[in-house]
Amino acid sequence: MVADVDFDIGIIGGGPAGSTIASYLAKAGLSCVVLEGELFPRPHVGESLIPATTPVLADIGALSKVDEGGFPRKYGAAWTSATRSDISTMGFQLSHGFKAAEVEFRERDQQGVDQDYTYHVDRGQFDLLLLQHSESLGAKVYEGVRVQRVEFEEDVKRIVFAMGRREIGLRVRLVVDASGRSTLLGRQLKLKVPDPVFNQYAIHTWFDGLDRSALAVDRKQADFIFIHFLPITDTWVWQIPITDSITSVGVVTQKKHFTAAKQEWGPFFERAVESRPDLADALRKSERVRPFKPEGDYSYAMRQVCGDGWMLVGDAARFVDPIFSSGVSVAMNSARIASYDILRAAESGGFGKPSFERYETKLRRAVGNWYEFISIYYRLNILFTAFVADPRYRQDVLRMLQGDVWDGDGEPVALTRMREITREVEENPDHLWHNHLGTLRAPSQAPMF
Amino acid sequence: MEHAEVLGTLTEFVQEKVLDSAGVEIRPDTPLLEWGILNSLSTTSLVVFIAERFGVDVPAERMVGRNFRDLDSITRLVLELENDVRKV
Ligand SMILES: Cc1cc2nc3c(=O)[nH]c(=O)nc-3n(C[C@H](O)[C@H](O)[C@H](O)COP(=O)(O)OP(=O)(O)OC[C@H]3O[C@@H](n4cnc5c(N)ncnc54)[C@H](O)[C@@H]3O)c2cc1C
Repeated sequence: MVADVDFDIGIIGGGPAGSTIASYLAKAGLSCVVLEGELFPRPHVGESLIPATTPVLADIGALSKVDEGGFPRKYGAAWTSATRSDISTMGFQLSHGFKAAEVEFRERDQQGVDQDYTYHVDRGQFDLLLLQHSESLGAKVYEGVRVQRVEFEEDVKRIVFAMGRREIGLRVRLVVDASGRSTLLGRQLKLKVPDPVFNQYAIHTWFDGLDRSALAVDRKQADFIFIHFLPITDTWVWQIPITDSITSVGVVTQKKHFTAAKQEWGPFFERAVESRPDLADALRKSERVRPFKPEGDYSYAMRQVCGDGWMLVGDAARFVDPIFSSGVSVAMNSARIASYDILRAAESGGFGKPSFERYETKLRRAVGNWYEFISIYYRLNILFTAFVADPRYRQDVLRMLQGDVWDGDGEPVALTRMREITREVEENPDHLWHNHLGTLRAPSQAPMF
Repeated sequence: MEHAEVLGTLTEFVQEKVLDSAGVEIRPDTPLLEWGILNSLSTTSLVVFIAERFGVDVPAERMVGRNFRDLDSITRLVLELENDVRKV
């Protein structure tokens, strides 16, 4: 017997994960409701996309809207570090020695992607565009509705929220939690496990008038995302173009540095960037136009990502670390892959846990690859630089940087090699990279859910 | 390839590209790592040079101090790797 419900699918949260899944499902004719706690547009961290978002945007029919939305085009990524002057560059293949590594997306063809750029986005505008897009496809969207909890009954789930003094319960057949780092269901069902290794924090803001080419060696690349390494352990800065004149800048650091800052974000931010005088100088000549915003405790996994009548997508399922700008792409691709299982399950009439098996497998594999790539990056940074420069591995590393981790099987060869080499270096004190080992050390077992 | 020939090519590379002056004398037993002439970063580029010039890849597991101590050891490493290639 089919239970009596208000909607087939109830989606909690209208960020990229929520509006993407709403778009896929509404387009296929399911009745969906999206409940978003904020009034859009609202500011949000996570402004630099990677190309794996492109096929998803194209699929749901939003790519042309985004392309015409005036978001800066992102053709590649670059890394800079403070070089000690005693390190010879020796005409190495990197275009300007060890000072930086860089990649351009056009160097590698990617299935489903016909453009050699992705975007940097003002998330206020981007998320609004996507949410309205899902509405145009038939999803019912309520903003300013903060969900309090989900009540699980046999066939029906009740999504509970308050309207004035009244408590309302919407009845749905399947709950998709896309509530981001609020992790509504993860907390309610006590599924959340803080990451034992990653404990990074970030402080970020926007600057007007920053000379983005000040640190770019090649002016053409001024609109790449820049990752500037600071000479402080595991600390780096992002530089992301938001408009012609506005640039998002954030410092990511270990929790201990962050705690020591005692919530004095301004002085902390300034002290951190001061360790790269060229960067500090460029920042002084520009004007800060948003308050400093801290982000913390963002690395975690979930014991389960789906169950009878519920599933988690995007940050609500997992987040590791922002170093490779993978967040929005994981949000949108997890939504895409979840929607395939949901549509299949809707036809067969039940949303039991077994119907989400493919989703779980694919998510675990993709996020597992990300996790490992990120761990190795922090553990042995020089390996990343060497692999980017090495013609044997460059394409494979680029594949990861493009976010192309969902539909192939197995893990990228470069990742396997990186893991082997890291082990060598760890075990052999005579290895020339041994003293480059970082302090973050990921457990060797597969990441848990 | 002969020991002397490989040694000569490597010596030239280190003189010109690492020390940036052809005039400096480096002997086959000058302790490159100990004296900081080579470090882990510049060794990475030396490895790229070896691949281009001699057509052999230095596997990461052989990037150890013992093999890069001085020009003599690096030469021996290159010759060993060339031998391995020929055997295959
Ligand atoms: C420091 C830092 C830097 C980052 N940089 C990047 C980057 O450069 N590129 C990138 O791709 N990613 C980046 N990320 C990750 C990125 O922010 C996220 O992965 C992405 O926003 C996830 O999308 P989502 O839709 O899952 O969640 P969100 O975008 O967080 O959306 C969740 C939505 O749910 C709503 N919500 C929450 N609780 C409730 C509730 N109870 N009821 C109703 N609504 C609710 C929220 O208001 C929000 O709108 C970064 C993350 C951090 C922490």
